[in-house]
Amino acid sequence: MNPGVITEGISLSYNSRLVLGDVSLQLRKGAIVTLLGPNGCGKTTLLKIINGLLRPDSGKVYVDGYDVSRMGQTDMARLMGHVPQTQRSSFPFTALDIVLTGRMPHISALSQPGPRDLEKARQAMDMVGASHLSSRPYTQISGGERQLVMIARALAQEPSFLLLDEPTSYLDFKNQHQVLKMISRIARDQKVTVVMTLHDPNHALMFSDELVLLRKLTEKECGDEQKFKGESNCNHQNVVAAGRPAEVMTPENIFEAYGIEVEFINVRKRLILLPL
Amino acid sequence: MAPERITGRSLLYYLFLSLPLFAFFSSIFIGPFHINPVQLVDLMASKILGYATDYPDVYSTVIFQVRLPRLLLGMMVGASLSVSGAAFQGIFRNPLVSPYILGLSSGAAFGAALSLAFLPGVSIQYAAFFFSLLAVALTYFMATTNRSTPIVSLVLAGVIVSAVFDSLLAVIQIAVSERALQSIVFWIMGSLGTASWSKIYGAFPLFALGCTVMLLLRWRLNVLALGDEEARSVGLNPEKYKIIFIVSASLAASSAVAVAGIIGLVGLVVPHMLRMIFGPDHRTLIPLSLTFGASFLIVVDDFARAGLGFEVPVGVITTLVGAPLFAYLLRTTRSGGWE
Repeated sequence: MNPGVITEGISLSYNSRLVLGDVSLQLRKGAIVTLLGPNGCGKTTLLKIINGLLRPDSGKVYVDGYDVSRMGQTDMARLMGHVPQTQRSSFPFTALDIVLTGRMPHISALSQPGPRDLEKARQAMDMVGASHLSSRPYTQISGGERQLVMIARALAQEPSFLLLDEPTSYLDFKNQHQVLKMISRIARDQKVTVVMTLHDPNHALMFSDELVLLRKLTEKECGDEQKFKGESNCNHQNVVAAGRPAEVMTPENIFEAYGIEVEFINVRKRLILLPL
Repeated sequence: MAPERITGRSLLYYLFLSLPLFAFFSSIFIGPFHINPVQLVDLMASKILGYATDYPDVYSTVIFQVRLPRLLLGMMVGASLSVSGAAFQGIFRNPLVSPYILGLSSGAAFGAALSLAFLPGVSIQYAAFFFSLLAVALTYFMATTNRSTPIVSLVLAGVIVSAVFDSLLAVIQIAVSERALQSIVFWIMGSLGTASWSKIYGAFPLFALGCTVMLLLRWRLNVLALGDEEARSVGLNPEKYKIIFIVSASLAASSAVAVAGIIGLVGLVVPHMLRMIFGPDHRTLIPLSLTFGASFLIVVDDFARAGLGFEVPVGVITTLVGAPLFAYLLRTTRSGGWE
């Protein structure tokens, strides 16, 4: 076991509502790890905590052995690339200009991107197969193409860890599949550890080396913070199961996470999950 | 950095960078007193090399005491307003923002009025400068909660602070004599007619400081323009850079407003026009705003001082030219709305 990302007892409340309770995980370096769970289970929040964008109320995050809360922003950006779920666009920057902003952690205080940075940005666009978009305005390309550009931007950071928040949202059936295939190819070729959140359990089964199944904390468990604090041994954990996909994805675990009955069928040596 | 792919465009880029030279040397001949290029070169050379000429004193006075300070001040004011406008638009992620969005102009108007009406001992420039920065600071602190300063809060706080200073200005305007009222109204319109070397010396250091910072850090506006979280994830602290840009843009714009009054729409229209031609990359946008802004304002001022046979405050002309242009841009560009 070579732990890439370790979380130790992460808890976070938002508007005095417990979103994440005591999340302790060990995610293997070099793996493709998927965080899976229903809406509101805190998977996006967990991803942001790992990336240092949000600070947990308690608990620690170690990435590659470094304590994230003690890392400088530049070091953090060299270690981890983050692809957000929302696709904001304001000015019609070209796709290449957007990708070039990923070079930020490698550019010294008063300087600007140089030829080497431009080269790295071009390589990153090449990796995601988006070179043809280089000079297109970001505001005029499709949602799927924007996703590729944002992934290229994160790759331009040359990170060891790539965090993606629902990389398949905004994409159609075919593009979902292609983007996920591309992510696994990049993970292998570039030796990047991928931690991503996904909505579709079948995608998670197909594309992950490791899976973390999360559930949403119910009102009873997290509605009243004071009550939660007083009651120390109540069950307020989000993590239903974590580990190899086939072990995590059992009908019992799925029921606990999503509250629905499912059945697994085996098609051409692939496990497919069907709601009943 | 020049756009590299299309040579026609990079040619245009260098043309725009050199615009101030053309604007300067055509504007210096404009005016009721006629001077030809040979005389100008001769006068300049005599001044620099210190030899005597047999031109009447009026030549020297017109060039060195009237036109030169006016042109230099105009270039400085046009450049300040345009560069800070471009920077403000970058940090607000919105092309429809001007340097006055944080209450800078309302604060300046109040400060100038206070000095004109009640504090004859305090110079108008200093009062305008002080209160314009005070207004920006008030806006910033009003909008900051939990160490973060959301853009929407800044806009709202700017509206409130502007309204407060506008009301205080109205109180002064009601209280003062007609003569003082006239000066206040004239100051607010914005003019380069009172240009002098002392104003240039006074405004230059802060103009230079603010613009240098913005020029050096201009690429980071691209990073910032993508959103706070997107900036943070590549290692740029958005709050820190928001402060740096707000301070440097406000210093430049305040020093301009302090010496020239409130010249409207330059800071909004100039960057916007450049963005339509050269695209939104701040690496080209900021240097071009400097040169094109400088040229734009002195050319508009040529009309203001010589176009109608009587002097019109240049702020009036920039607004009359800027408003239709703005309306056109607003209706034709797709990126007009909030993010």
